[in-house]
Amino acid sequence: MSQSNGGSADIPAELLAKGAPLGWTAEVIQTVVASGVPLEGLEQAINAGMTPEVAARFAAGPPPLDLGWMKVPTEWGIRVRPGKHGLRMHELNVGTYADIPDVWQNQTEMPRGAFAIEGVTAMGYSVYEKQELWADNAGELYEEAIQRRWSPAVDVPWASLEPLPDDIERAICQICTELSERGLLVVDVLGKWLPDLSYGYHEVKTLLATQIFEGGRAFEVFRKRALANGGGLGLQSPGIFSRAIFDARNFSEMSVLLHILHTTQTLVFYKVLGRYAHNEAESTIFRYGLQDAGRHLAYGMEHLRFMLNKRPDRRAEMHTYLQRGEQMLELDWQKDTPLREALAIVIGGGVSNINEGLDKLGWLRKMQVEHYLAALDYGRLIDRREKLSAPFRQYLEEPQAVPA
Amino acid sequence: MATVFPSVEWFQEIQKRVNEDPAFKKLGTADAAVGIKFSDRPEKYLLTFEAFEVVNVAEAGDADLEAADFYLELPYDTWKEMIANIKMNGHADLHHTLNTIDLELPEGFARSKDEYRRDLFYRFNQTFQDFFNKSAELDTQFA
Repeated sequence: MSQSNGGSADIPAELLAKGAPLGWTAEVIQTVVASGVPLEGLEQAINAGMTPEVAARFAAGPPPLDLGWMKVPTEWGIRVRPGKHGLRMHELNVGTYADIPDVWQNQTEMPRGAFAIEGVTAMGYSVYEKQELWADNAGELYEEAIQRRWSPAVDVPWASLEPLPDDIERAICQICTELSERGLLVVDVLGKWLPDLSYGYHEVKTLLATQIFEGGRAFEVFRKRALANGGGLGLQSPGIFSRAIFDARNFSEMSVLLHILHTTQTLVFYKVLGRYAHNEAESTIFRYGLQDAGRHLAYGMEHLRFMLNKRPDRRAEMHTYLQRGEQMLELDWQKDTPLREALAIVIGGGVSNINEGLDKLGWLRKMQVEHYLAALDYGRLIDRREKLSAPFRQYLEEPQAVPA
Repeated sequence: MATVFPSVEWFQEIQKRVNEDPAFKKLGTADAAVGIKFSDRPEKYLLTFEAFEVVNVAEAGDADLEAADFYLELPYDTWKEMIANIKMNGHADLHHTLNTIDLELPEGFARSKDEYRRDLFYRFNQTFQDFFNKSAELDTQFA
């Protein structure tokens, strides 16, 4: 039996009776059926528990189109073409998209060049000034890091590892333990800073993301070396200098300590350990490590140059951070007997030659200080030779020992 | 057919081979102007790395090397030893890598007045090493 409703579809009385206790009025049922829903489908929907309000929204059809967003007042018609390197991020900085302000005013996740809308919540960034984090090479270094990525799992010739004398293996494993710790430091420090950096300088944010990845990779590859040739992990490092980097209160302080002071030390460790590699695996690890460290240093140098060009008044402040950093690093070095002895064993060629190796640590430290000074001297912006802390100055007076 | 070292042709032979090698491209982009110099001979060369290839090899003068990002300088016999070692092993052994040689000379192997530009030696180290390793495929005649 059906109920006729003035020219509308006939609705079976059974369906009306089933829907009524659930709030389905005859009018709602008529509207839904008139929108094209078959009676069987409607009955199934009622049985499944669909409410009449939801059914009415379906029956009303889609909301009217807005399309106002298509008239967004950003620059339109941009057509950046890939070059020999492909399509690189920094090459997108054309027209108004090349406008990288000295102070980024937006507190949200809005990408640079997009149009802000009202009501979006602030993200709690703390770094909004370009001078505090910018480097002109950030976009280029980001692309380089992506292009020159490497995989410890497959790019290191692990099969070249062969059993080493126990003292050498123990020394290598101690060094690898500390180098893997240094990788995690990069992850932790930069991971802590990323949420503080506003979205206006995405080249730097994305570059630092690659450095976090590379810190993780350093941790990975040195842990793998320690556990791949019959050895194991050694003692942790004192971590005194690491704490100084982690506790930096502004980004440029962190950068000058991490990207310049810390990285020049790491880079020289990689160079020297590459020189004393015992197999192709170690040689490859340190060569790839040099590439990563070289990029981190390049950002540090260029950021320091940019920042001091904008804010030459911050030069004395940087000296203060470096002075403290040098002291912490030296304290670390003096307390880190395992690292010094392990390096001496590797450089000397075994425990029996450890004294020869210890003599050469002065050569290694001299090289580290020279790299550090040369990096700071880039652009002639910071000359620390006269202000160098006493132990660092002493290393410079070490004889230029050339390893046999 | 033997190729004489040092000569533009010798570097061009390597240039041709690395540019055709997918493994070289897989290392990623490298952009650097690298000088080649001998401390005891007058020949000088300039290698230009751009994006995924070596785009130019040319004879060079002092000014070119000054303008390069960095230059590699060795006595002729040490160049010869490195290239002979690469030929013998198919690549540089642990004692003849660019990095090792750089450490064993008081002035270093890669030299530049600008630390930022010298840093390219590290940033693209594997690319430069693979470039010279490719010389293992040549029949080199030392002049």
